[in-house]
Amino acid sequence: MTESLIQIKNLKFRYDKSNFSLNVPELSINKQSRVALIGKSGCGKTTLAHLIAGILKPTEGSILVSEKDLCSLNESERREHRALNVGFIFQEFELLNYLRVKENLLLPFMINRKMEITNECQARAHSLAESIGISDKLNQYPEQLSGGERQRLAIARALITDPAIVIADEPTGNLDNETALTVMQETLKQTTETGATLITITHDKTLLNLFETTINVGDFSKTD
Amino acid sequence: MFHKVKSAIQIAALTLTFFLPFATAIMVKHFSTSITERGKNTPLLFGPKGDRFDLTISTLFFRGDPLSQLSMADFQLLDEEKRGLAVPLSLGFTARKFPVVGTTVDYFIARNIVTKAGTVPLTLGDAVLGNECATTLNAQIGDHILTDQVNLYDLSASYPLKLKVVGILDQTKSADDNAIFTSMGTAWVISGLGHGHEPLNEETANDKLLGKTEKQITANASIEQFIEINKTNINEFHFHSDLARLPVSSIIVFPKSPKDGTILKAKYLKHQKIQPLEPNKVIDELLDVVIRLKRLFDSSYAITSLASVLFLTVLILLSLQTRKRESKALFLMGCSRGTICMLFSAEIIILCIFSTLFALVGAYALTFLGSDILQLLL
Repeated sequence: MTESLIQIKNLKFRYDKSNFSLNVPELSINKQSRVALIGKSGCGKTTLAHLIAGILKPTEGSILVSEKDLCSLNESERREHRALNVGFIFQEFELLNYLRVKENLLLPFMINRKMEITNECQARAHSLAESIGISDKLNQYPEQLSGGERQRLAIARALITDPAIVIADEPTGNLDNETALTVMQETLKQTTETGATLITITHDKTLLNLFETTINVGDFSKTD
Repeated sequence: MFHKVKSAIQIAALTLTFFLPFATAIMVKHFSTSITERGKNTPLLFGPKGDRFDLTISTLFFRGDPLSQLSMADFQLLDEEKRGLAVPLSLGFTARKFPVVGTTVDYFIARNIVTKAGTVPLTLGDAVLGNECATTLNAQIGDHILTDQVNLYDLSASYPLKLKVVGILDQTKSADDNAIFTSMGTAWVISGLGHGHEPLNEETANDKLLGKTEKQITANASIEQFIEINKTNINEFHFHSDLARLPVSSIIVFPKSPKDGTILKAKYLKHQKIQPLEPNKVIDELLDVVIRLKRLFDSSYAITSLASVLFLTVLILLSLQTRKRESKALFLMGCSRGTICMLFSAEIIILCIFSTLFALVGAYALTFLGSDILQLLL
C-alpha cells in the first residue's frame, strides 16, 4: 500500500482584497508520486503549490506533510520546513550567474542559517553533479554552461537537500515540445532516483501521460 | 562578468564621489599642520613693509621674493638689541629650481637642524642641501650645482655661480628639506653684488683694460670672471659696496624670552620701512582664508555627493528591481526575508567600504606623492 505524504482536508484559502478563493475538501498525494497540477491561468495552481510548500498559510483547514500540520507552524518554522523538505525548480532556472556551479548547487545550504555545508553535502553535490554530467564544470559559472546543463543544474539544486517534495513551476513553459519532453523526463528521472515526490505545475497537456496523478486545480477554485 | 563590471563601475563611481572631499580634507589638514608648525617655530620676523602674507610665506617657505629689501645695517641694528638670536636671510635665487637661501650658521642652530653628512656652509661658494633636495638632485658632497640664470636675455646680469656641496642636512619635514643653503656672502655673489675675476695689476694686458691710473685700474668686459669659488680664487672675490649696505630679504628673530620678543616687536611697530610680524598669527589669518575656501569646496562637494548618492540610490533600486526574481527564488528556497535583505545590503555595504578605502588610499597617496602640490599652494 502506498503511503500518503501530503494530506489536505477542508482547505480554504483567500488572498486579502481579492475575490479569488481556493477550496479543497480533501486531497492526498502519495510519497514518491508524480503529480501534475493543471488548470487555466489564475485558477490557483501556484497558490496550491505554495500552500503545500508552506509559503502561504490556509485561511481554514489543514495541510499535513509527513503528518506535520503546516497550519500549526509559524512563519519561521514553515520556512525551515520548506528549506528542509521542499525543493524548487523554476521556469527560468533562477541560477545565480555570479556564483560558480558548485555554489549554485549548494545554494539552499548557503542561504539557510540552520543548515551547514557538511562533508556529506559536498559529497552529495559531487554525486548529483556526476549524475547530471557536470562534475567537471563545478568551478565554472552558469553562463558558461549549455542550456541543457543549466536546466540539469537547476534540477540538481532542487534535490541537493534530499527533499521529500520537489515543486516544479512550469519548468517547460518556454520550451518547444521536444525539449519540454526531454526536460520533463530528466526531472522525473532525477526525482525518481532520489525518491522525492514531484509536483509539477504545467499547461502542457502533451506531458500529462508522464504523471501518475493529474489534479485540475480549477475544480477547487472560484472567483466571486 | 557583468556583475564584476557592474560592481567595478559602482565602486569607481563611489570612490570618485568620496575621493575629492577626502583628498581636500587630508590635504588641507596636512597643509595647515605643516604651515602652522613652521609658523610656531618662527617667533618673530622682520621684513620690508608690504604684504605680510608674501613676506611670511617667502621667509618661512622660501617661495617668491620680497619686492623690497632691508640692509645688513638694519640687521645689525636689530642684532645689537641683544634680545635674541637674529638671523638674516637672502632669498630670491634658485639652483636647479630649488630655492637658494643665503643665511648664517645661526639659522641651523636656531632651527635645530644638523647635517646628515658634511658641514654647514662656512666659506664663500659652499652650499648645504636640504634632505629632499639632495635626494632629488642625487647630489653628494663634493658635487657642484650651478645656480639658475635669473634672466637669460639680460646681458648685464650676473653669471650663474657654481656652488660646491659641502653638506647634506638631516630630514626636517619642513621647507628646509627642499632648499639649498649658502652663506650670505655667497648669496650676494649670486645676486651679482660681489664677484671674482683674474687679478688686475701691473701685469694685466692692456687689451683687457679700460683705464689705468696710479690709484685705480679699470678693466673691460674681457676680463675673466670666475663662476666658481675655490681655494685658489677665493681671495679674488670682493664686494663693490659697504657691507652694511648689502641687502637682506628678511630677518627672523628667536627672542630670549616672550618679553624680549614683545619689546622688540613694539620697538619696530611704527618703523618707517621695517614691519615686525609674528608668523604664527599671519599663518592663522592665512589658514582662515584657506578654511573658508575649504568650506566653500565642502558645500560644493556636499551637493555633488548628494547628487551622486541619489543617482546611486536609483541605480541600486533599479538593480534590486531587476533582481526581484532572484530574491523571490531565494525566499522560496527557504531564505528568510531578513537574510535576503542582509545579503543585498551587505553587497551595498561592501561596495561602500571598498570605495571609501580606495578613496582614502587615493587621497593619502595624493598627499604623500603630491607634497609638491602642497608646496605649489604656497
